[in-house]
Amino acid sequence: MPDEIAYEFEYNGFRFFFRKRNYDSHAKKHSELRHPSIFPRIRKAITDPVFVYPDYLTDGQRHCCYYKEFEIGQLTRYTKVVIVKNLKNSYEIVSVFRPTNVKEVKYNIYPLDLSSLEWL
Amino acid sequence: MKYTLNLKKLQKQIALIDTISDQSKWKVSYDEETDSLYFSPDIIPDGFSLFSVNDDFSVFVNEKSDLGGIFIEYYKSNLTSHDKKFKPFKSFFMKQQTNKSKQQLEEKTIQFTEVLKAELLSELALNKKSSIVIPA
Repeated sequence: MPDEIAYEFEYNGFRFFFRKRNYDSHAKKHSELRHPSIFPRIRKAITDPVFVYPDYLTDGQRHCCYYKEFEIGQLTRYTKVVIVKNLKNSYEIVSVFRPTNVKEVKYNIYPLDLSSLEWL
Repeated sequence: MKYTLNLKKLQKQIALIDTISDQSKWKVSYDEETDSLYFSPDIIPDGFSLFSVNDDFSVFVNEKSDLGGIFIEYYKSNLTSHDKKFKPFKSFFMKQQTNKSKQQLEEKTIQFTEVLKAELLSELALNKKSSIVIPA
């Protein structure tokens, strides 16, 4: 039986989807995921990212998409969406949360050229 | 939305993290898929958002500056690989470590909590401000 999908959308011919079991698991810890306002944020992080980093954990197989929500003083609130290519025209959403830092900067990982990303 | 995080209150709660975690039934849980470690209740209540204490540690806090949990991103691949204080905990909280007893898990969690507490307190002590406005 196929997995239930919690959220999905298409953009420039690519499908992005969040499996329900994965969404439910993350929503237990990150309460923002329990509110519908997270879905447009996820979409914005993927379709209008301020930067996209290759994932430190998987040596670039995943992409970490950051959407800058707003900043106050020295702090910035981001929506971070980690995606991995699933099929030819399909990406699975691995995780979503809203940090106040960009962890990848610590590892001297450079953001990807947004024009090189096939879905943008 | 924004709110003011009372750093002194946060510091006091970190100092009491063993009591708070015990009372609120926090558990250490490791998400292998994302290499993330949580020290929190099973379900973190509404209204808590992340605040990065430093590059390694984030805390879940709400507008009352209550501490709701700890979040460590890239736990195994980064933190336990570069910080010798956390190396003894590198694999202990992995799901496949099924041979550990309840007592072993509790003892290790106590040790982990002590290390975490010291680390967070020393980091917060560097911040001379008593509060900070954070985007929620």
